Amino acid sequence: MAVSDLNVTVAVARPKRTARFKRPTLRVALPAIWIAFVLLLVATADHLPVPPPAQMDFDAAEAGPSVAHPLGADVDGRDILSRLAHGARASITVSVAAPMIGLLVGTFFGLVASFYAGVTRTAILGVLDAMLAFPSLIFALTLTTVLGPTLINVTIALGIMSIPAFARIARANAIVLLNREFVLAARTAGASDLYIMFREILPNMAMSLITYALTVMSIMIVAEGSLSFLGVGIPPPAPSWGGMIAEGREALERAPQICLIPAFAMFLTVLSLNLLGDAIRQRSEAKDGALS
Amino acid sequence: MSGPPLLSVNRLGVRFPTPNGELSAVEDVSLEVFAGRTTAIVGESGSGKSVLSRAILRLLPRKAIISSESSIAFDGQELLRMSPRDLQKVRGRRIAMVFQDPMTSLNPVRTIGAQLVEGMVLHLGLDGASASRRALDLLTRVGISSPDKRLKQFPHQLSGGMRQRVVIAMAIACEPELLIADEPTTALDVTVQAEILDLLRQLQQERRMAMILITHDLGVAAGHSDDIVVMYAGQIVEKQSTLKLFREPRMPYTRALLGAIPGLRDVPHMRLKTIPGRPPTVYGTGRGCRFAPRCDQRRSRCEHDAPVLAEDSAANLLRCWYPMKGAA
Amino acid sequence: MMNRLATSTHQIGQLLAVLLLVSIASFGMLELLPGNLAYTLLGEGAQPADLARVEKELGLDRPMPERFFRWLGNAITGDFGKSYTSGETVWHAISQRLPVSLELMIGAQVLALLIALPLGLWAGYREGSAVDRMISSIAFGVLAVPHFVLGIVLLLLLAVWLRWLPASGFVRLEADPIGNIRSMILPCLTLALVEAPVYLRLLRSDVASTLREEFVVVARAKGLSDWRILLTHVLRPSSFSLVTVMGINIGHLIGGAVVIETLFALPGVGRLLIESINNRDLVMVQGVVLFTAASFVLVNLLVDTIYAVLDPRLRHGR
Repeated sequence: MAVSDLNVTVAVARPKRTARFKRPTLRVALPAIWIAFVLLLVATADHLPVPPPAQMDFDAAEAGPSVAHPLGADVDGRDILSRLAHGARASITVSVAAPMIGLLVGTFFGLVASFYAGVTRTAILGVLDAMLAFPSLIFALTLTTVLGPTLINVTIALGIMSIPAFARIARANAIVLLNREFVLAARTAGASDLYIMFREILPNMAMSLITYALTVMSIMIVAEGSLSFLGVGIPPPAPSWGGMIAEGREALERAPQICLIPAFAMFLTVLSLNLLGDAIRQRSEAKDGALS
Repeated sequence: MSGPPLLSVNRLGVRFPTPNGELSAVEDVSLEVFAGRTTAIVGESGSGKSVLSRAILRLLPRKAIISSESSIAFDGQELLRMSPRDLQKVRGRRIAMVFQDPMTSLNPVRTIGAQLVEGMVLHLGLDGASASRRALDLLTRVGISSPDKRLKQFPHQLSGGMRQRVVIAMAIACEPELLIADEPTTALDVTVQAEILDLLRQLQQERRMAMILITHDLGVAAGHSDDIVVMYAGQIVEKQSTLKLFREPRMPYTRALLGAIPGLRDVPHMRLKTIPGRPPTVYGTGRGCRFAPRCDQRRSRCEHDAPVLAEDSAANLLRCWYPMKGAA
Repeated sequence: MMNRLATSTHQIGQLLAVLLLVSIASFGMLELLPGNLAYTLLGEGAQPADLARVEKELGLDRPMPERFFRWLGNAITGDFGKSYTSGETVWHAISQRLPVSLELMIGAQVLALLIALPLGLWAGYREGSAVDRMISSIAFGVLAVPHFVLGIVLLLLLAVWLRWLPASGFVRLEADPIGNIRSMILPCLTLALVEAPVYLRLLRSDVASTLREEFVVVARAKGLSDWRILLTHVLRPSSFSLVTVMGINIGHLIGGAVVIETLFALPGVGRLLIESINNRDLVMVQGVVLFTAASFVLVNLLVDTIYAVLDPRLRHGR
């Protein structure tokens, strides 16, 4: 009769719930479906059974939905669906590529700033602070004006804009992780700084950075849209959602759909990205909680 | 026992819904507290003593389920069925609480003075100036020097012991009839503990308060209470006057607890006697005596027959089939 | 006390460093702009001699570092130079436009707080309830709407369909206060709806976490009502994230909300910047950028002082 029964099993009122496979909820499925749809549009833009995006047809100007123009036509008679699909290209390209720049460059500098103290750190943080103080839209505006308003330049400008935020997040995470024991263990085992940076610290902050990247993606879509809306983004006739919204303003009273359709598309895309980012964050937070 | 009890807890049961089922935190607890007397509630962590203390003022989290046959009567009024507004008039004014950790009990961004005064303004209808004067008196009474300076200070500028004195001052500010002290010294240095406990005792005698002192430390209960209630796994297992309990503990659990206290006359470097294992977390209702797995006096009946709280020949309450006899 | 002095000097030093970097960046960037300014001013058929003369006038023939320091020196004394295109001094232009941007910012922040404070408190207080989920979902949805889209939708709703408010046309405050307010409602409301969801979510999250603190239980045990606890005990410690983001927003907005001002045709600092960039008015652009960056840094310095007011632990150097 051992006295050492550590855990007493007592009659349980309700049986323990067995872990079962979690079906992806609507909050994750619907956004994913929309994003997939947008990507589909981008891929099939040229093959849609609608006129090319730049083709004007003044007879059909501001027309409502019809067989020829499934979503109607804009002020100059151009097909809205066609422009929506082609415009999606600009939005998606920018929203994927720009955060990528910020992620890679920002994380690098954030890590360096957290590892090496002294002049390096002060210099990096100083430049980051200055970048934050610099009004971001202005920076993008100026850069595109200087270098020319092409898709690539807009992407680069917006990408550079996002560097400080990524750097800060990377640095904040790194500081916490650097103090954890596994880093101390690695150092004691003789690991070099680079090794620790890439094999120990980076994987642990990947989740946090990726979640933020999704947020940045949705911000970029709006930023690109803002630039186009202000008339300093990708110049016409190349379609972009922001440009379509700006152009649709003049017909706001007569044919609001010209403006509202691309606006709604933008809204849904941003919402979907935010929901997905939120879902990922909740998952990764739940995991952390169990460990720490 | 002078007169009717001030607080009368009857068959109190508290359960918490959890993913693993309903956790029984307090089960079928009844006790009485009288004016001018201190009742100590002693138990290990997880025994349900904190849940019990918070249940009295209905400070439990929203998801807590209080069983329907529970009753907590204070001066004739049923606390469990009071409206929130009436309950707010009882809290702080007639029943006050002192919590365990003085660092987290005080709001770090408000001055000591503000926190002392708000209860008095609310319950006693004092204006700011008179409340401040009264606060100064209270601080002096609990042994804090330069009280006028302290009023304007913030919690982080005081030491742990001083903070707990402030918390006590806050509690007695409106002259409550019952003071519930939930592990008031656990978070403090040993040297300060005795002072705080003495302070509480003095205040109680001055103001003829009833006091409930909750602690896991039998030593604390020994010197500072008139009656002791021992809890284990959510149930009361022994109820005695303090003197009798220490002279002749009858519950194997209480004996084991006492035995675990190192004594002055023990041989040095002797191994401390511990009770092996840990208290159970009970889901639903248990089977058998809850202490049985760890009891060195257990017999076969204990494992499948849950003992009830019953009076023995000397009118002491015990929950055990085979209480022990003789001095510890 | 000495500790505070040291921190302040450090902060001011950082401020100056950041400003220096910003001015170098803005100066340098605009140097890269293609096209000679003299050429732009005089036009296509300009004679080389005239070009040389204008260049000399504008000091464009000097080496860049010299021009930079000359400009910086002037800027410190408040002389940001004169616009080439309009002849107006930069300072004058900014001071004319600043009140508009400020009015927009203040109106927007006040409206945003009016929306976010009560709703955020309520949602945090009733965390997890149906009300909380509804409020949070709506906030999430509004967050996803791009600000210019929000402006257009509000325009459509309030100015075009309901005709309650004018669609555009700014009226100066001194000229006609009522007209001014009417013309500012839509822009302020748009901007407020952009910021309110963020403030709401921050407040809600902080309130929910503060409510888990022990001193809240203590306050309840003292007999304080829930509302009193929320307002006197919970609100202050829960406002840090909110104040931080507000500070960043205000700092950015002093430089003008470019998109909103464009959408509603407001003569603010943001519009000034866009116009100057389009006109290649370098001096104006440099001046405005420096002004914007300086305000941002100053506002953040102010926010740091506010932290000390909110959290006394910071005052005593802990």
